[in-house]
Amino acid sequence: MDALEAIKGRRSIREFTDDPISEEILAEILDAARWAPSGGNRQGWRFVLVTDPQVKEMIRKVSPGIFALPAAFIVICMKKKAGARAWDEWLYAADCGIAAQNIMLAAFSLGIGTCVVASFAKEALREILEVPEGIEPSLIVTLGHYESLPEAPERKPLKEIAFLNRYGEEWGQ
Amino acid sequence: MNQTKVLSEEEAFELLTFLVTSARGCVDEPETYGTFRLIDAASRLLDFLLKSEEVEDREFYSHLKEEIDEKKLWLMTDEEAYFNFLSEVTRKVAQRLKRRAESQGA
Repeated sequence: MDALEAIKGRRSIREFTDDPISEEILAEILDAARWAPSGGNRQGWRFVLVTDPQVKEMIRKVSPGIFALPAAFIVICMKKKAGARAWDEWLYAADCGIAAQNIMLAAFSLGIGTCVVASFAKEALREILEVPEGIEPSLIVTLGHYESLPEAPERKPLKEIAFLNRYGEEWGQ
Repeated sequence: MNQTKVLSEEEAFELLTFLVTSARGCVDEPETYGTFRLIDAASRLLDFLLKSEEVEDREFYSHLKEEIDEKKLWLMTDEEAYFNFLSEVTRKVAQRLKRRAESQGA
């Protein structure tokens, strides 16, 4: 599957089958996360892969944005320096988002469905995963096999969101 | 009225966890997520009710859960339809409330 096919074909999957994901596939997905670009190449993300049924169940319960139990979670955490400035905070969020996209595209290309979740209780997750101070759980990606892909939600036309040379200036397409 | 306890402590605790974590989430999340968490909590409660052998209103709960699960994510694609769905669900619950009150009074 080429990159564009993965970008346009990926959907947010919220219903999974009970089938487990092989370790090889999970390793491949995590490796894709490792190759994500990051601000200043600081590679501040840390990834917690969760496959233990009991831990998964606890994560589901403290994450209102998760509707069904997936085969695995990847919790994207960010190593934050003390006294981070707004600029750092902005980059932390961007780095996590980019890593999440790498995870989702790699997973989709390997036949695995995903959904990125921001609605979870951070402090509860910190407690469950024993995340140390200075590291912040930032995003959760759910991963699992799926039976069907949902239809793509409507996308805004390019001319509404993309401009040529100056903001607001329409381009030809 | 059926006074049987239909939720286990484990189920009640799961719902408690959902409500508490949702309450925290509502501090930061978009305003409309609050309504979504509440209707999702209703769906989760219905799920537990339907697992019980003891409930009297099974058919109503079953249809209600089906409708909520089918339409709750409309919030993300069609806000107006989602708000209308909430009004409609409210009306259905109120109708049921009246019927239950009438049957108790009979």
